[in-house]
Amino acid sequence: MKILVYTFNHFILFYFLVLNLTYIFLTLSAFVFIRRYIKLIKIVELRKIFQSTFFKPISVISPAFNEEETIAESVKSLLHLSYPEHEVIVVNDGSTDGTLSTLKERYRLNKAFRDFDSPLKTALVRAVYQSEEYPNLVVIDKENGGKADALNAGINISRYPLVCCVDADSLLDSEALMRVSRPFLEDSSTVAAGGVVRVANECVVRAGKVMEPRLPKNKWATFQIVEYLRAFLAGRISWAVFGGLLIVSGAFGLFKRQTVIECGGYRTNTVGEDMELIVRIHKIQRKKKRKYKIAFIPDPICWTEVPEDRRTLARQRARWQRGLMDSLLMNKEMLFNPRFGIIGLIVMPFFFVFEMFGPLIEFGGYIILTISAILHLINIDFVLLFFLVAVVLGTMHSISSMLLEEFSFYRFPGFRNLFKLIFYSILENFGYRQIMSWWRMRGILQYISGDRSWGKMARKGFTTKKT
Amino acid sequence: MIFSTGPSFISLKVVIFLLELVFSLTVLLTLYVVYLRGAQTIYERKRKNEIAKWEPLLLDYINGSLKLSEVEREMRHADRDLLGEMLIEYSQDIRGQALERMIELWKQLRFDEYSFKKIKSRYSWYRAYGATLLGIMRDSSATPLLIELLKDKSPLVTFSAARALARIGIKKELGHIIGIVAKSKRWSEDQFAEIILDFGQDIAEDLVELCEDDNVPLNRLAFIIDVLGFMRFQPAYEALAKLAEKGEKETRIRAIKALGELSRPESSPLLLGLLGGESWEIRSQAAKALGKIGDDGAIPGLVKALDDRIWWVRYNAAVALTKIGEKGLSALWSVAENAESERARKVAQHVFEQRVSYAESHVI
Repeated sequence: MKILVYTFNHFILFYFLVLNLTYIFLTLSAFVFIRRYIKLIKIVELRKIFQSTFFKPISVISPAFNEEETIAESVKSLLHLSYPEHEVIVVNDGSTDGTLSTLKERYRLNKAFRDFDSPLKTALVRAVYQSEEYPNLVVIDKENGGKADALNAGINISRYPLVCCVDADSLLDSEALMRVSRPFLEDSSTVAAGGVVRVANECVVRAGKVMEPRLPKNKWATFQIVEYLRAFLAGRISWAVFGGLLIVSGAFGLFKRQTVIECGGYRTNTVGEDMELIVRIHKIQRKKKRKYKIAFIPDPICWTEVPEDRRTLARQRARWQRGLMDSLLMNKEMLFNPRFGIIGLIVMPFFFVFEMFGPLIEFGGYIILTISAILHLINIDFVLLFFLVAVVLGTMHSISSMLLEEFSFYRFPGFRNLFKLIFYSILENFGYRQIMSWWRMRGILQYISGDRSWGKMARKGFTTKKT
Repeated sequence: MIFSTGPSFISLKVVIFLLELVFSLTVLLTLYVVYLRGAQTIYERKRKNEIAKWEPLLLDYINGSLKLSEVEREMRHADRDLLGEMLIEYSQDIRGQALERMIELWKQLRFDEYSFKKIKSRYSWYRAYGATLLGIMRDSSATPLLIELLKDKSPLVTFSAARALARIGIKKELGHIIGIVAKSKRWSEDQFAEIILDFGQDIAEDLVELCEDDNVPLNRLAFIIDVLGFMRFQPAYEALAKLAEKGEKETRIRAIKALGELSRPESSPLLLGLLGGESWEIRSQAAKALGKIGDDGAIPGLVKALDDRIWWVRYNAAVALTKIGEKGLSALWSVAENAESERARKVAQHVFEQRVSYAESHVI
């Protein structure tokens, strides 16, 4: 038992060092990239391209299931996106509430005959509607098949070379499409691009736009803001720089339509369809030895509603963990496989060890700690110091993300917001992170037991300013 | 060891040192973030005040209501950085006399000296920024320096310099330089695209020559072809026809598209031949291009293409028929009503329905 304890302790130390050094490296890389990017966009403005015919038109696809509360605002924001040419395809995925009727009433939809190819198999499409008022708005009404199935149906009917997949409850910044399409203009080998997702809870929304970003009063939502800053600004940007981005958020991502179709579209038998698609794109592109790029932009803004109650958040995080496991295990042939370059040799192993097994290792550590205490093998000074180092490092990572935010496109102005975020960065180390790990642990257990459900999320709707 | 009382490879002192280090870093980072926020807040406030103060004056000056000397006198004590930013922002979207007045003001306030200083900086971004400013302000006195900058080792600087020269109007002389750039990979595709669009018709002949140069990378060639089509540069016809007939698929697709833009009836036989090609992308673009040309003689070929196995070919053929006037519409209607092939009927019906809803929404 002593040997087990000693061995595990060494492993924990090594794990801790590698994880934190990686985060520090990723943060520094993100810093360099963001600075360079901001300077670049100041000089290379791409005005002429967007005024010409050389931009690529985009089909924006928004799957909707029981989104009665927010669908109207969401579609409005999509229709008013600033882009030379785009269409909006809303896929009503067998909603049981008034989602379709809200759309019909608000946008004067008429049934349309629309012939289209179906390279991706989906659940039955019952009808296609066209808006009288907005010729670039199409609504598909189909039988319920899940988000992935709905996206595939949208991709089938889309007619533009780029498809932007957004959640129905997401609000896009008006210039989001212009910004996220830049990588495709910069390099024609780009097949996918993602952007930063921000928390919209309690932000003031008017005419489908976030007019006034606000920090929510709800503590769960505020914690998630800190998390999102870390994940998007420090994490994803850096991974993308090294060609190792494994996820483009389901809330907002732009893809080459042809690439998605070649890969077989979104998988419907997973809850992590967004990540799984990106991992599969890596796999297929590398198998075919094609030059390709998956980009991530620090500035386009997508705002989304995050859970404000413990139950919904717990379900979401467990689902994300299951999605992560699906994405990695379904494509496990890449693991340690030199044929897949940096993805196989560095990124996949990192995600396997630190993201997938992370909660197991963490809880394993708590168990070993308990055993150590029982066997009087514990050095309390070390335990306390280690915990303090972990807390301070965790806070440092979050503050670093805030620094990245200050350098880039800071969206929560004012000192009050800043101090609140700093406070929550410290506070999250005392319970929030631990409970996250527990929920992720539950996700692992659910995965092992075969649970594939989505769960429900209670929606509040956006705060709309009265004029 | 961290948790146990056994032997350890890491001592308490090391851990304490690490803790102190990380803690200090965290405190420093936090203070820096607070400082940046403070600086940004002050800047935003100042900017708001400066804009409120100078904008009316600037607008009056641009409109001609105020003289240069009056404005210059008032603005002499303004915050230089903020004022400079304001002038640049306004200059981006104005033309003609208004822009000329702005340039005069820029020079009177000695911002041109600022730009010249920047292009001599040892930092590439500042050189690029300086070149950009000189371009925005159409400062032709900077031409020799900007031409020198085209040899800079930084692609961003060369891009900015080329762009500035295009804005100033030094285009024709630089066609050969565009040729050099086209063959190198120094600029990203979007940068290359912006420059080509900036230079426009003035370098069209040089672009046609590049179409016949095997050393031009395919992605650049593709864009050059697109631009020639966009400009509807008729002398490019022969080069484009050659590229459409054979070669790499993507290049052929672009060339077919460009032929459509040129809209010359003599392209019809070539494009009709391509409607029966192996690649669906080529068939699809050929159908589109025939629609743009609008030649009646293409109708039978397009009707046949309505039964293509690929939806995009069928759809583009149907749309093309709607663009060939009454005869094309009539042919499409006939297919929609009577065709044996279900897929041909469906696509024809779809396109008719699209036309109707488009017409209705525009009436609304």
